[in-house]
Amino acid sequence: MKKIIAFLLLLTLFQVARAQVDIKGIILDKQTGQPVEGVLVQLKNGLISSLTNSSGSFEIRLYKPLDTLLIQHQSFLPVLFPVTAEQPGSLPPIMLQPKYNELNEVTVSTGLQLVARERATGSFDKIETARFNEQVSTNVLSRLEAISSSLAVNKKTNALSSSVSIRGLSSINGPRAPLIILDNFPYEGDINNINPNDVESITLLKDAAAASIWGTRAGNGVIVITTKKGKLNQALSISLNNNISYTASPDLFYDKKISSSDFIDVEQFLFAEGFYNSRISDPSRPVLSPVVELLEQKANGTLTPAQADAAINALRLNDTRTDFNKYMYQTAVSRQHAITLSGGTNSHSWNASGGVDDNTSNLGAGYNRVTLKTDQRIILSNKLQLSAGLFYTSTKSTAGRPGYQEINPSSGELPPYVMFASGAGEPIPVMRTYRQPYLDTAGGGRLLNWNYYPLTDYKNSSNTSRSHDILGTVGLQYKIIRGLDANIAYQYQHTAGTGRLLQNTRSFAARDIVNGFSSIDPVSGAVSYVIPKGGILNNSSSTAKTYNIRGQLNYSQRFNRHELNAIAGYDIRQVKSESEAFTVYGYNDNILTYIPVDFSRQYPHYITGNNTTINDGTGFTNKTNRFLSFYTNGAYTVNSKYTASFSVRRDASNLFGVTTNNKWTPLWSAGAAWNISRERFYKIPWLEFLKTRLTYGISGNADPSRSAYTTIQYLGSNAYTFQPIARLDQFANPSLQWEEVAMLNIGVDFKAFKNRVSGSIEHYRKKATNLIGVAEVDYTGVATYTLDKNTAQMKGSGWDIIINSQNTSGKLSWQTNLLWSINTDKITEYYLPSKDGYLFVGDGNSINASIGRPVYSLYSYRWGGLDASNGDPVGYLADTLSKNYSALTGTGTQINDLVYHGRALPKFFGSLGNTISYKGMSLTARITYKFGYYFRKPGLRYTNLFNNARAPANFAERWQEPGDERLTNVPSMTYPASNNRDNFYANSEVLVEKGDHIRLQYITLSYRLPNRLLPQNIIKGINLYINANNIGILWRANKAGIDPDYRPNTILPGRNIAVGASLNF
Amino acid sequence: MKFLFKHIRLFILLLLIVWMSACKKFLDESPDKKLAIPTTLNDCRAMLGYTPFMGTDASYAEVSADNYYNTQADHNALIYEGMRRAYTWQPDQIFDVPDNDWARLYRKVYVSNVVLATLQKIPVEASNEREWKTLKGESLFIRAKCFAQLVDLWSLVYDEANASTLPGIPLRLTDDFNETSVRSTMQQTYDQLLADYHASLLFLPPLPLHIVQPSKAAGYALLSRAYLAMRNYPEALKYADSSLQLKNTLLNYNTVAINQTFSFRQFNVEQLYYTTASSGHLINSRARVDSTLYNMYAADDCRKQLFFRQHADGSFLFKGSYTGGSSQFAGIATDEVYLTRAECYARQGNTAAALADLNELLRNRIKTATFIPVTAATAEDALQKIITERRKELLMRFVRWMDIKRFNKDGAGIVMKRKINNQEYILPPNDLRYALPVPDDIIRISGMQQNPR
Repeated sequence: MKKIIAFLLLLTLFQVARAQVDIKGIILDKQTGQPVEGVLVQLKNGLISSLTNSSGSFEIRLYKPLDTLLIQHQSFLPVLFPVTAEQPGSLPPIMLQPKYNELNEVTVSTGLQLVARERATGSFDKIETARFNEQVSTNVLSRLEAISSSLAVNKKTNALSSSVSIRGLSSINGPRAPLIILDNFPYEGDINNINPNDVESITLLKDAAAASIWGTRAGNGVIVITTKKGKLNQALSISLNNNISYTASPDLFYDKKISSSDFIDVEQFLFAEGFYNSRISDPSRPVLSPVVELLEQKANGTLTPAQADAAINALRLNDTRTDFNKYMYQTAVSRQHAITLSGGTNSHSWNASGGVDDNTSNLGAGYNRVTLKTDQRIILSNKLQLSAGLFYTSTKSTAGRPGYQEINPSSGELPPYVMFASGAGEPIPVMRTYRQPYLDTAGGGRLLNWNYYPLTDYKNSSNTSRSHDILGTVGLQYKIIRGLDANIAYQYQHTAGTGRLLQNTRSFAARDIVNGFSSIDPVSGAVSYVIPKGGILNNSSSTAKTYNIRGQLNYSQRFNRHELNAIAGYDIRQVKSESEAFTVYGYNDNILTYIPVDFSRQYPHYITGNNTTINDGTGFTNKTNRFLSFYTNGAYTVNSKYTASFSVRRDASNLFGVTTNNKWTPLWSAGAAWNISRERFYKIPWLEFLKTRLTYGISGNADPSRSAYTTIQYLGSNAYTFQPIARLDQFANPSLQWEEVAMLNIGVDFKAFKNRVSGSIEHYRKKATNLIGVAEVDYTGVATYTLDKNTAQMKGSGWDIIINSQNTSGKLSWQTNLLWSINTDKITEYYLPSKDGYLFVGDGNSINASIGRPVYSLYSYRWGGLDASNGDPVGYLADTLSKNYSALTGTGTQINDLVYHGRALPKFFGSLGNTISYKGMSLTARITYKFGYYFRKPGLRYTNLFNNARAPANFAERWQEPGDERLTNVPSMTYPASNNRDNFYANSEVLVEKGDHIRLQYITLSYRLPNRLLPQNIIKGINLYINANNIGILWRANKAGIDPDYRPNTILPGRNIAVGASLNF
Repeated sequence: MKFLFKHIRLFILLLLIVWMSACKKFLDESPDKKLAIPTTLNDCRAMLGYTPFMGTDASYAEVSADNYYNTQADHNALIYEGMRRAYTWQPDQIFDVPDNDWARLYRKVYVSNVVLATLQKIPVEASNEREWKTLKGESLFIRAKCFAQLVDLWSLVYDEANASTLPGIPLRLTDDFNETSVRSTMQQTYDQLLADYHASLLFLPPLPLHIVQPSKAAGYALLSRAYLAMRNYPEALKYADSSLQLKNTLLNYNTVAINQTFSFRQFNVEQLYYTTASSGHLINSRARVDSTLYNMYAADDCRKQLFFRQHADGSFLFKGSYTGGSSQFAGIATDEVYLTRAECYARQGNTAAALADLNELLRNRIKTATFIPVTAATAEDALQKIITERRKELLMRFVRWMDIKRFNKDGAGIVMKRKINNQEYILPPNDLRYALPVPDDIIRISGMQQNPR
């Protein structure tokens, strides 16, 4: 309210002053001559103020003939500039002297403190607002891959938060997600709850020195997100951002899958072999495909051969993907609206923002998000400062239509010829669990319709989840003596989520379960129902509460040439989450009634006769994670040239993963920096700034799921005795050691050619001991087949190069940003005894056993071609051709017998962005690239084809007659299929391709409306933009048209285009 | 104040101690209420109650035996090569999925060992004595039953003469999985499993809360089965009798409805201890019953209709599982105990007692109207009739493999044959392949001795 009054008051003053004189000016950096944005220009009385825009210009209205401008910016020394009303129009340029006589004092946030970049020893990658906003998205993390150095997103997993890695993987089995810090505290909530419009900057902490301050959870790197804050002595500013983005339907035909006709041929072949015999005669009537049903009808005489063949041949022309395209997929639309207000007086600064996102996916699934946020900073006295922040996020997600590969029968995948809509768009029943001819007559019409209609079934269920997330922070900062502050901060987060899945009485799920549990009296024909007719409602709710208290002492002092910055703190944290769920049957959503059922009894299934209890859908979880930490770090600088730094942190937690002795794990780092360009002897005129830095530190990876004790997990109760039951969860593994990663980082920061070129070059070396991998165990002694074991030691090294250049300036400005990372590593020791080849072939995701080779390497079985007489794949056993597949894929092939292709993870990767600006127009295009690695194409496995209906399209190229071996590498079809033969081919060298590719990630065009077009004094700026994202691959090394970033057999997300406008008031 | 400064170190130390103990308390909270380090009797009960582990037994005692056959088409449709190799008694690589019988049994041994180790740390008091003893008895019982199945599958038939030289199975008696697995001798194996059964009987209740839990009645029955495997008929008789003293009810098949998909309910009055086992070979649309076996049932035998359904091709499939579904019953029931006691009586020469037991069973199997008690001229005649009845009663009950082994040892000369893809496979009596190959990965990882082929 106070703000609104102040705002109105300001407006009134503008009115009063209307008759007065406007003056314009421009503010430049004295050292670089560049305009400075965001400078506060005030009249001395403090009531009228203005901010400079990106071109450094400002406008202010005088209502006294003589006044003085007070010009302030956090990075520059303040300036008093007298003005008179007789100087209408433009003032001469005002030059600002940077503070400490330096370039802009850029700071980076570690989440615990702000570190002056100038004196930082660690490796930070700071992403500023402007670059961050070149892309449009609902989510914060998805923008980072293209614009940050050394961050990689693994698109082969679904969960975004766990797929992000910084500077490569330390371990493949531990928790992989980097730690996310939101405004100084670890963020435990859903990262999708953060509105990107609230983000001021993002800093990646890359080396051990930077990350070790966050302790054991920082082994995979740290992402520090800082949100927008108000500033003291700042006029009210309002900005609006609106955009709409469209994502094209994915290309379903990217999945190179066996054709309908080929698959029908396979089914006919298998039918003739009697492959389906036992399923046809199975009294539990397991589902058969439409072609097999037709063949069976042909065999038992229900259909004439001509009728059956005609029906089968008609199916050859079908492709289920045309139905998916026609009925399931649509263009996805996302709308985003955001408003940010901020302002500040000399004792109070504030910020408030709100955002609304409204997304509809390609499958019609909805996502709505409302975010509200405010930050306040109040200077209570010259010793005491209070800050408070509040985030509120509310989301609602609704499920959409089923997508490609999501309508699957219980027998495997949907055959490629199965359609779910008739030519007229009417729903067709689709194979699901039981045989269609049986379902057509089951119960003689007395049961509910047992057909599954995917075309319409999604309309009969509604799946909605909602969450409300409140995050509040309060902090007090107290100046004890000069240079010494104490602050105490408290954060509380409460997330409440609900899920509601209602499958109404017409849904397949409800009809299937009602029928399955019913029985028909053979005499009277009366149907008795165990589960009442009606809907099924699953409700779930969850809450998560996080408390965090932190006390910290900050010391910062300059004594002449010496500067000391140090902090020490203590942190207590608790994350408690609870959830519960229940299910009711016979639910009527109109009158909110349900009918109780007996969950304790077993009932025979109508078709299979198997006894089962009714799923009660009831469950509870209750988890508590507690952490205690001590940390300290300090940096000592002499002459603004030499800096030494150190940090130590100890963490303890209540996780079972560690024995008491190991609960406290110390991690430390030390570093040094030298600002060479400040030396008196330094005389390289074109290289204005040169700094080197060096750090060394230890980081660790604590995995809560690994235990020093045998643990059990409770799972509900026994169906017969109703006593609680528990499964063994973890196996006491006392010899398991924590992974420890030591990292040395050497960096050079530079600015050259009058700041036209700047950047950093970093080299790092990593040494990881006790890398944890999966090892086979003798399951005679334990109830598991594999255990995590310390597998290997590795050494790695790499380069992260960031170069920014201003190629041209002036009217036509051209900037380039290059991110180039090189990452290599090799195994130095391998601990496990087994070197059998089959443990190491595959997709390169197991730790390699050969000393000197990369940690994740791609290996294959040596290929000896196809047997000319029958198309069998041939391998090598001890350099002689062999078809003994069990030996080839077993102990007969050792790792030294395998073909080594190279790295499974890219050696070179990064991105290149170019921005060209002319007047208000700006065009940015960014490509990303990955080089120096290999991937494996999915191979045809006949076992999969026969049993699960899954095979690649190159089935058509299989060996069929002598001579084909000269044209193809795809083995002949054999029956019965041999899984060893399949394994040999699928892991052979002929399926490996180079992964190198270049991708056009995004293009953004923005236009800043010239000031003359703007309504004076109301709108300070209008920016229109258009962003095309995920545009496609420009070049790839593989000829198969595969996008190696994605998992095989999946479809790729469609291209995305967004248009929007942002306004500043 | 002065005092404070004087003793500041002491105060700091005190503060630190208080603080450290507070920390310890703070960090002792369980991270997940559903997770526990097993320490209580409830934890032990919960581990033993986890049916997916504890209610599943080995299937190869039926898979490798002669109660069924697969057609060539069904054989070729088996998904794994190892399954096809097992069907024709190949000397190796008959287990190619990790979830094999070896794993199924040893994971139960492991759970039993975890429970036994946990019980060791819980002091016995008046309030918990009953449950403590029950749990101790149950875990010993389960371990013994697993060892008995393991030695049945992976060792040759027991023979006192060379039992201390023939390989038995690895005896895992602790939960320390870092120990290397070493095969014991067959004598050591039987000594251990008999000791476990005997010890369990000291602790188990006469009858269970529910038959998914072990009891004395079931313990005696299985002990009797173990002695039968050792061809120690007097001991087998003794414990079969002890079991029947506790429970001897039989289900009268005349009361069971015919023409059902599965003839029996999941639980019935005969069952002493309930577990299940299944395999792709044995599913009830694939496992055809040997026609010689089918023809052994008389027309008025209720089992003829309750056990079998006819396939469209004229062959017969088994539908008489005591699980009431498609998986097979791998526990033990009173019908088997009657047959064991009858067999042992007959071997003792006690024809009357043998026939009394046999007729008590058959009275519940043959149509009441036409039932005529079986008679026998000699004890040997009675024995042959009992053995025939044993075959007819206990198909798909995972005892056939044991029976063939011991009968052949006594000279029965049972030759098993399979015909697939125009090739005949024969398993002659007392062949080395009556000890199945240890899974190849176990041999590779542990370096354990493979059965001689």
